[in-house]
Amino acid sequence: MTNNKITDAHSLIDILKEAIKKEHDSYDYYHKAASIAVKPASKKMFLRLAEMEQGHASELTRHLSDLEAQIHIDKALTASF
Amino acid sequence: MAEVTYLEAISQALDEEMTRDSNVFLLGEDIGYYGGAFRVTEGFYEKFGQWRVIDTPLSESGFTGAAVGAALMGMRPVVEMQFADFISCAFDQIVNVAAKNFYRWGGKTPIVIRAPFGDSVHGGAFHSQCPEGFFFNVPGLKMVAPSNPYDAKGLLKASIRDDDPVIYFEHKFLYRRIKGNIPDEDYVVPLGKAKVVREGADISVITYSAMVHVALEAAQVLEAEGISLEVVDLRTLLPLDKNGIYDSVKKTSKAIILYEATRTGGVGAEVAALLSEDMFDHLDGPLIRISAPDTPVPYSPPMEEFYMPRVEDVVKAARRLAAY
Repeated sequence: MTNNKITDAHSLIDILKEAIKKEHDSYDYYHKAASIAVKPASKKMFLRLAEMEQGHASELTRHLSDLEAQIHIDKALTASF
Repeated sequence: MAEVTYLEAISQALDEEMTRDSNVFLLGEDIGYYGGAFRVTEGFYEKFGQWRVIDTPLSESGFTGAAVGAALMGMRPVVEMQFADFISCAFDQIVNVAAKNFYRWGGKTPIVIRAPFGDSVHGGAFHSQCPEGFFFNVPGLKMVAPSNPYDAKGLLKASIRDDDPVIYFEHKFLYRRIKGNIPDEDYVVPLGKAKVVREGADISVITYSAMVHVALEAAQVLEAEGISLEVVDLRTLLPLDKNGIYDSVKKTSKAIILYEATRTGGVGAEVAALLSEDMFDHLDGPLIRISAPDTPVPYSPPMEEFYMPRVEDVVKAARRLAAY
């Protein structure tokens, strides 16, 4: 991996961090909606959507950890100490 | 108990052994001032000083030979190969000197060679190899390959305290991806003992290092289909824990041998040969090996992914074997 690719990876890290934050915000949004919804069907739908956002956040977090681990290996591979 | 990464477990083992025994010291390329290519020895130079954390020239044969000499004089050197791929440069010192001293005159050679190995890191043919097969038929050597932080720490401590030369294969892919709890107090994982990391009834998957995690993932997939995999983590490759392997196969009567080294003539081939010789009466199906093909590791990420044994390979083989 060249230094350019390492820079690209850092950009991707910023994108992933932002995406995780958006998923957390969406989770809070739907959770709040569920708490004020009166109809059981609406409450159920908002909770399901909140759960989906949580799933997205988990998947993005796993991908972020993997990318950060790979950056360390890329530095070793390219001797970019 | 504290949760640490695989890499932190290795680092802790080195730190604690250097603190416990002043004869333990480190040699390798960029391990001192920089803290190692993978940062395993970060802060060691400042803590233990230049005489116990030695930055060497780029000469694996030279610094391994120096370590063998120090070991013969009563020290306990730990050599870091920056990548396991470079270990071939020190082949003569390891195979013809370190491994043979005991046979020649009963000389102890307590040296540990840390070898960061393994694929899935986009390192290509010169930074991704699994060279354990090169050393597998060398009497006088020991080899370990931990799959998790607990074993990484315990096996490294046991290796440093052992009087024989030990090659310690640490998997680069696992360094910062695998976490686990390890005890606060001192412990070792004895050399030569495999471990059943998942109990199962139908098929034994005999494996080691990063492939343990592939086997565990496959076991989860197959559980839904009613196929129960038992996963045996070899932990020590040399000497192999024959009884640990046999006990599992006696229970399941079927075996898959999973390893990411090239297919021919290595650990997987030996396990298959042992099972064929000693466990034939217990087997209810063919022995299946799942490995990398006999080619260098590709650099292209899609090709590397194709090259590596995958969860679906294990699932497919297990379905085939379960039908017997």
